Amino acid sequence: MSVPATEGRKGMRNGRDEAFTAFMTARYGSLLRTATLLTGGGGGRPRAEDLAQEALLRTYRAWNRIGRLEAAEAYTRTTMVRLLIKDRHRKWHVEIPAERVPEVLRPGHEDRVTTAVTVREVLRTLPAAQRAVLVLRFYHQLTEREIADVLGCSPGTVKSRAARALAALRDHGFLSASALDPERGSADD
Amino acid sequence: MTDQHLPKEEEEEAEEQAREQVRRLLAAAAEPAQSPAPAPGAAFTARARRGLLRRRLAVAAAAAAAVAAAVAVPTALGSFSGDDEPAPAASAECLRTAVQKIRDRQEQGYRPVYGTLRAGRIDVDDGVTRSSAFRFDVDGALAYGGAGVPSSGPVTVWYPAAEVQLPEPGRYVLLLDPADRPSTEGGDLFHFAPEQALPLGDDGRVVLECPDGGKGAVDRERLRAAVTGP
Repeated sequence: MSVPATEGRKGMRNGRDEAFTAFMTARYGSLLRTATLLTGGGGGRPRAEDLAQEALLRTYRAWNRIGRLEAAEAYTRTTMVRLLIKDRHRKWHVEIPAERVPEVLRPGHEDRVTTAVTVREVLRTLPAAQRAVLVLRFYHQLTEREIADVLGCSPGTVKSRAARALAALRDHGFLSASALDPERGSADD
Repeated sequence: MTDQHLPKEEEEEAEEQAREQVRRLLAAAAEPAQSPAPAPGAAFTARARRGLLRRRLAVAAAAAAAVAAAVAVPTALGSFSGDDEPAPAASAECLRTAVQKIRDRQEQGYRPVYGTLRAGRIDVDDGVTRSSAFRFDVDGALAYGGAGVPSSGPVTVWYPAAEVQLPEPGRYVLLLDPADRPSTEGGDLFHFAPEQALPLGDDGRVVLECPDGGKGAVDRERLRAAVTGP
């Protein structure tokens, strides 16, 4: 017996909805952590959630094209990065005025929460593109080529943005003066 | 031979350690300061589905209009409808609350207008920010206020901060506020209050968000009278 077209459509829809909801349940925490880094934590959790949820809405639209569950998180992550870079008018993050740039980390400043807050403050001082490169390169450990594909730029641009972002971390005492310094050799693949 | 390679190996090890240090810093910064947010559930998926269906409907309707195939539109409507039921008449309490929200925005300089939100994204640059906007064809105003907001004609409105707050194409009562600066092409730009995008039906009734979380519909002229009344 053939399935009526409307029931077949509903079945496909329900299957997609169930898979998408299961994907969100499993991966939302991870996506929100990435969104927190991309926004620099500016505006608290709501901004990171806005970014993650906007990307998820787009992921739902593309669900049938994505195909594999494993690819869905990468698709959502890429969408978050592109939203961050291209739609500057949306206040995904809050810039820190120069007079509020955090102080250099002091020796013994080991509390994890304090470190997290300070790193987020440093992230917010970076241009969105540098922040995105830092997150994709060192948090998600993508290659320069992969990041260039996400951002639509050259690997050389990725390299220079990563170098500037790392310099900011060095300036605030999070890295030693020579660590991952391209002046001393390649820091990348 | 081994000794000659040692510095290189040490350098690579130091680099690896530095990478790991950056990864740990970012991992720490990624952790939410508050308790973990619950993942969106089936309600979010339903909203995503409705948004997708509306987009498809808008595309279908635009295509139908383009080829003047008016008969195709009811068919598409039949396929995609079912999520939205007509809102019941708004209670006095619902109307009073909605009017208060509009007045609150009026005090901030917004003007309530009604018209049609057009599909399509417009690239906008005001010299400071480059982003997107939508076209809103103003048919009339519910009240005065919002100096610089026209009571008729097309206006260009910045996208909201989050696209989830962007209403689908259709007829609405919107609260508009002139932006600080025009576009680099000289056109006026406006902001809207995303929480006050009230759907306007073909029957002239405006759908309000009621305090109990439900919806209530009220005739546009009655809403106008309530907004402008004492």
